[in-house]
Amino acid sequence: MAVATRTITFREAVNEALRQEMARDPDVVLLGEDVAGGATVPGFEHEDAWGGVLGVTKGLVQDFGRERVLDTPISESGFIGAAVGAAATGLRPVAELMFVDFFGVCMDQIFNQGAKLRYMFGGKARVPLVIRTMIGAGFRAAGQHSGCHYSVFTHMPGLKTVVPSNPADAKGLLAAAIRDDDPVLFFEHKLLYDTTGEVPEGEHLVELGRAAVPREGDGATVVAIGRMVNLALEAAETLAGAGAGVEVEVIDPRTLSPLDDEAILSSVRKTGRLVVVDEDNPRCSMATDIAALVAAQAFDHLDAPPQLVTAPHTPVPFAPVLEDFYIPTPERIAQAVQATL
Amino acid sequence: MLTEVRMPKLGMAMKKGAVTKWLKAEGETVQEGAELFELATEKITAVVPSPASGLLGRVVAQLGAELPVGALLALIGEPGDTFPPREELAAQPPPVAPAFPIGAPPAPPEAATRAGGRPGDGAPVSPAARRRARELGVDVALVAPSAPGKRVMVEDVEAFAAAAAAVAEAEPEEMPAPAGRVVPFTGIRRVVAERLSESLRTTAQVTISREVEAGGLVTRRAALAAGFEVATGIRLTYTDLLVEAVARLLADHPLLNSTLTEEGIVLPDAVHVGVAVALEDGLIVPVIRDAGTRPLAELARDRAELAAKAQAGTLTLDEVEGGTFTISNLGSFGADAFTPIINPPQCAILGVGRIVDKPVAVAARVEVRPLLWLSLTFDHRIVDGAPAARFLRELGDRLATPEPAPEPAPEPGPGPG
Repeated sequence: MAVATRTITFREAVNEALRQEMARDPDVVLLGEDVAGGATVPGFEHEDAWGGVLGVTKGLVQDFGRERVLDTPISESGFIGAAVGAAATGLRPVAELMFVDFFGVCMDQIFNQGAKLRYMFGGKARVPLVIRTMIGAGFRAAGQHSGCHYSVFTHMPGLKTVVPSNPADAKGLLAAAIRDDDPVLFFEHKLLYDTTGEVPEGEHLVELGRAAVPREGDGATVVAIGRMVNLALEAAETLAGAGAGVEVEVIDPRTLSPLDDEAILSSVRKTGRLVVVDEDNPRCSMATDIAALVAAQAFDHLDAPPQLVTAPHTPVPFAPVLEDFYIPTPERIAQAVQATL
Repeated sequence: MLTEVRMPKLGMAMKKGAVTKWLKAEGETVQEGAELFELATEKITAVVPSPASGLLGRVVAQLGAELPVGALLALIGEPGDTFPPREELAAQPPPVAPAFPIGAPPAPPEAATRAGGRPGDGAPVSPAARRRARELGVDVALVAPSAPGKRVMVEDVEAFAAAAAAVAEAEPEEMPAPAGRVVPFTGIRRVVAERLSESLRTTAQVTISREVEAGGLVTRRAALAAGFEVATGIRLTYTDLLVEAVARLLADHPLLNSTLTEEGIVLPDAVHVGVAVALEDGLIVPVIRDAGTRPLAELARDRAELAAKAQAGTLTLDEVEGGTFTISNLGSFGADAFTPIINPPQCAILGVGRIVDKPVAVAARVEVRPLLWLSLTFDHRIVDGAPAARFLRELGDRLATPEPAPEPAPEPGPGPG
């Protein structure tokens, strides 16, 4: 059965998932800073809605109204808390934490309330909440708007964490996250919004906890997260073309909690080599977590020490030359692969 | 339900054994507790009872094949049960026999600790290469990395194995048929061979010899033997007197009664003397316990019982383990002197030759006296030549003296503590 697809942007894929889920389920509501914007505000009737700072929710307020697309004050601790409460009492809110770097002001609501309610009430309370948030460096947005930080949330029991790398997964994973009965942090890399890909038109769901293998190979396993998948594929292309002719297998975990351990382990058992590429900071990170997983469970299959390609242990710098140096590159990934051969 | 018959662990030190005879054939009915097979371990042979009643549905272990403790030997079930083919069962790795209930980690591959003049010396070996080497039966220490300074990887191990296979194929398998008869090198013969080779390979053995006067020994046996036999029914032998004399003397020479272990040199509290007994097809060394303190009569009785059991093949593992010193007496076979091989993990062994009347210069006159060669092999890692020679001289003095060596003060009865 052929699924009808067409090429759209990552931004449009996220928007389409929100639109389709809101149409399907009247309990799905959006809230966040400027997720609607000026339209329908008295005095701004002729303005098109802003749809968030980067226009991801554009057009939704016109179709679903201000009752379901709620502009909030600049008060993350207030509206994230409201979203947790709304989820616990029957709605399926999708809150937008504009940049993940802002998590500090609403962490009690996420960590001590949203993540623990189901556990502490013995399963009688559910928190079907999605928090969408922007991540990533390369946008010249300085240290307070450029981090990744998904490892912080992956550390916390009770939360699910999703980091899509392409438009089709963005749509399918967001729809699955909205239908999930647990709180899900959904991380959207700013530099991915304008990337394009084939995306199914109708309902499209990608199960949480299942990794993708965008490129198969038996030379080395590269586990890459989010936008790093694209860089890893570039590196793999270069390595395959080089004289060495190394066939790299690229694993895209897609969700970090739950993590598809077996996909990673079975690939390493085949290749004997592991490189993890992670734009997040390196200590207590997904990179170290995946390296530990492999060291503990596939030690006898390793032919070389695992290599980690990550950001340095610093905030994201503002100077463009330093910011470019901060982000992993295909060259560094290729060098790491060669270090395992 | 199928019951697995596995290689039993008959003593603390037992690591492997070989089935030397199946007392039931595949397809026969067996009873729990009834004798099922004969087993040769590194030290003894034993008859092992069946762990269950039923049909001996599949015999897995081949006769004479050395297998680790825990290896699958046979399956017992009910008529109608399905028994997998022997090849499939034999290919299954034995469970790791834990040294402790919590399960000890498997020992590192032997190759990891090997040193000296190998192609791969010093090169790190990847975990995957170690695993592959185990799977292919390759000694990973022989494998060189693909370039100097690199790690030995899976590809290097596989290339090595392929090259080795190619060489093996090139070499003709056919050996010229040996002229004469071939005796299977199995069972106790193989056990003896391996233990003695290991002894020579792993210790620093030195043998010193001394011809001593045996007048005291001969006189004492002549004085005691007749009455002893009447009282106990046991024939008193020179070996019994030697066990007594050596064990008493070892109290003053504890290093010759010691064992070298990882922790250091272990000095046992007691002297347990092993006495080598020649068998038709090999050699076994049952142990006389507490020979340093118990009276001669008990030592002689133990020696006689153990020797009889050795000939009958009914020694238990407990009766051959734990010796601290060994005596090998080839005098009755007419040997004068020889270089005995240490019985690991002991430090020393005394070889005893025949007693011969010879002319001896005594105070510028020639007298005929019974003489005897003693040969002491000791582990030079533990003891040096001078103290070993001192032991031999003191032993000679004891055997020469017509009077019996003074008995130590009687042991106090067992007290609290």
